[in-house]
Amino acid sequence: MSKLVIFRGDAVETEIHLGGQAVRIGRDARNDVVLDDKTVTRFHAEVVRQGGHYFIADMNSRNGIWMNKQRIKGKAPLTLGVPVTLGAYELTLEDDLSTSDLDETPGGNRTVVGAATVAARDRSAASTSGRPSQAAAVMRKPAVFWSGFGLATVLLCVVTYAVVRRVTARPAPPPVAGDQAPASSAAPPVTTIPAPPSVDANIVAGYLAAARSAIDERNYDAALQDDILPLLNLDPNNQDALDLKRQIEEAKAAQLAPKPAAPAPKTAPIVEVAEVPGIPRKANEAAADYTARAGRVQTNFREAGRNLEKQDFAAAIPRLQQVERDQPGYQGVDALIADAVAKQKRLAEDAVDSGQKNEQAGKLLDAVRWYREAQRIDPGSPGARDRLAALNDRVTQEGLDAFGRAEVLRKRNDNAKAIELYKQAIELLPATNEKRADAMQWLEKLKP
Amino acid sequence: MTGTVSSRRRAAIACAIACAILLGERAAIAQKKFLIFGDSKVSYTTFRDMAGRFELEYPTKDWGSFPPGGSTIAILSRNDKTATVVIDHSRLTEPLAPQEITTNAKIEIDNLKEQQPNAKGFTSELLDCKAGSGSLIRYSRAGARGPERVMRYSVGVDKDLYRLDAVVAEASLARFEPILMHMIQSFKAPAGPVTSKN
Repeated sequence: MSKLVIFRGDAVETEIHLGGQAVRIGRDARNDVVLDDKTVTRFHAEVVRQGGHYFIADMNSRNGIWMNKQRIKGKAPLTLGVPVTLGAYELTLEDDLSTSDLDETPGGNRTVVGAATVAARDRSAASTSGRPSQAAAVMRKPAVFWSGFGLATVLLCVVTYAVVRRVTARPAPPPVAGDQAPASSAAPPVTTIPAPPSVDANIVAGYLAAARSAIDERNYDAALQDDILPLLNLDPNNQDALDLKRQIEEAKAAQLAPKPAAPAPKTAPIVEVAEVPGIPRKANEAAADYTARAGRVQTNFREAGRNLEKQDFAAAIPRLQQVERDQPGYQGVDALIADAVAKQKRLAEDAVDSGQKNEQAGKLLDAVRWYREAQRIDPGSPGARDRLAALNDRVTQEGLDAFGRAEVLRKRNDNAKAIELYKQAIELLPATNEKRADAMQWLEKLKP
Repeated sequence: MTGTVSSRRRAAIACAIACAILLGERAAIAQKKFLIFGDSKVSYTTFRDMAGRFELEYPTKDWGSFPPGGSTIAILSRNDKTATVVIDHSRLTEPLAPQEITTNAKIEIDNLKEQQPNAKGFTSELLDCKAGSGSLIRYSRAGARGPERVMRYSVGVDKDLYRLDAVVAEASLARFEPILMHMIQSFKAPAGPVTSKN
């Protein structure tokens, strides 16, 4: 049996024992698990069991469900120990050794999670082992908890203020754009994509999202009282909140103003569109244009992060440059471009060096591989291009030798070695060489 | 008078030269007849494969054939085991092209190096035998009775690949190498089956 552990920040909010029934999660009281927070949509997600596995499905939520920094589209399998982000909460599937589950308590096991924290829990153990420490139960001591909570609240205010100031100075990414650093452990820190936004930023984003939702529903008072004003209490200078406040005031004024006798014939209707954090709408920018631009920025930035993880600089850099054109300074993209270009150059030079060492050692094929790797990293690498040009004749001769050997080995019925040599020949011979085509045909025939 | 002496001297010198030439010729004939020096003293017998796949000449005296097994189709060896020729056969999917003989030799050397890491001194050359053109690889290795010299001759005949491994103790190389070379060069492999006359 498994259970779903719900974290908010570093604390465990609750644990849900999963059975065969679907578990609905959301802000609405009709859900099985009620997460009373504005970052959570009324009906946000559903956990279902299919074929012995648990899946989480997005119920068209506003802020989405996130796993491994990627937004889940539709339904995704839950993996033990892998956290899923849902608004300000994280859900982790764990082994459950207890016997109770939703099946055994039909209809009566609704869990309501509010602002109060149920238990503090050691997340460090969870992050290393994939499962939270069992010490949580021991830590449910009210005195310790409330003094810790008080201290944490004060610290949270200070940190929130600092973070929000920073976020507003350089637009923060939406939770979607929290792409991670490139995979290379040797990569210098300056070249990494920024880490995902902190929980505090998520709270800010949650307030903003809830406010926009209320504005969409023309519930201006609720948006102002429940979302904008609390947020401005936290961060009086939050530009997004101030903009929304102004928008609400304008909308309320428009509601109060008498309707004109007849609509202006050539005035375009004002189309409201929710702004994406970090991508402000330009003056006079059409809603459709803004939506397209924001989507492009987010997609390119996300894809660039993936490309950088694979050290595919040739693909990442143009995307980052497009982001810079669409939204200058987004997520520090200018610095990212500079870092990516520097890293690209350095890695390409390293690859050329390795190629030269192999060339000196007489390992021509390995040398060619390194030079081609350098070209892959940096298609404009002059070192790799020059070395490959200098080796051109030798490489072709080596390819022909490999092909000749492959032919004899094939005739000798040594197909395993023949296949290897046909592969080498394909790698070494230029595309126009007819032996290369022959090698490809034989390779296809001999493949087991 | 002087003219007579001079002509006698000339006749004596001519006679001496003629005797020397005749003596030399006789000596060569005698060497051949009485097997005094080198290869020419060995008489050979033709060994024919039972299935008629090949034939080769081997010394009549002190040599014999031994039962083969597996891909080895014949073993001819001196009775004292100081020199041996092992003939191995495998099938090709296609005949080797003439320009592939060298490549085949390189592959043979690679395989030998892989199978016998201690073998050294590899050389290869093209060599014709009665079956056609092949490659001769020479190398040294440590044998059970001391250092050995191996000559591997590989020749493709249509879709058949024959390998003749001639092995001789390093100390006996000078004595037996001509015999082994004669055996290799006498190797003949008909394309089709022939009547066994073994």
